[in-house]
Amino acid sequence: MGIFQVVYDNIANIARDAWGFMVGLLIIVAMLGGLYYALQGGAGMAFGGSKMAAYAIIGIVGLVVVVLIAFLMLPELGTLLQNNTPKAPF
Amino acid sequence: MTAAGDILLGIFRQAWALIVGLLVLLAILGGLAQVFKMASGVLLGSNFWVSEAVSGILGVVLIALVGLISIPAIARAASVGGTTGCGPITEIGQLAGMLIGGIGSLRMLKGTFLAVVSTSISGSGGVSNALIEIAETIFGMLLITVAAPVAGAFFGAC
Repeated sequence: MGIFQVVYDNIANIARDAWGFMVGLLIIVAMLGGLYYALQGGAGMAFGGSKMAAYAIIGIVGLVVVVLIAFLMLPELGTLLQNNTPKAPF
Repeated sequence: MTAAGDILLGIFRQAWALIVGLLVLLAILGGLAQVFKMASGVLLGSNFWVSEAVSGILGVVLIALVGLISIPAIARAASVGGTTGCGPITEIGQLAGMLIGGIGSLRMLKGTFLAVVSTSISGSGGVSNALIEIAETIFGMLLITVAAPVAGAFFGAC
């Protein structure tokens, strides 16, 4: 990258920090969301609300799927993009 | 003149590598932002947010991938080749062809970069602007092939 290497390194460091921050935040949000759904499911089971319990189970499964998408699919997509970076055509 | 052109093309090549690297970084972070939106949609029970986020992830990756694969091919197809004009016009034409090819490629890549930025924040105008910029660049690169010979003939050099 030549003269732009320093610029790229700095931006890549910031992007790496942003990635770590967002992944941590996503884990926290997912855990809080899972806790909320667990409470909802518990309340549903305590009051005999089968619909509430079913929604809670679906919500937890959905959250796990979303977080798994973030942690498994995005790095693969990033690798795909990095493998397809072209050289300058001029 | 060729040496000056080589130096400029070297800088353009480095700028190309920088923009490509930033494009990949931005696409990955944009995908993560869309995952956040998806998680929020799941928690709030908003199906629309979830579907929008899924299409956003796919859009970011697809635009970046199509841009990275197609821009070099477009630039090679539309770049000025061979000699144009005669005498000193030839050298000027070659230099202009090299520089216009480099600048045009960078401009197309910049358009794709802005399209990825726009898609990352769920915007819709960036893609159409990128397409307009790419079309402008292609037409400019093709039209410039006739500029040097016409200018040479006009000034009586050929």
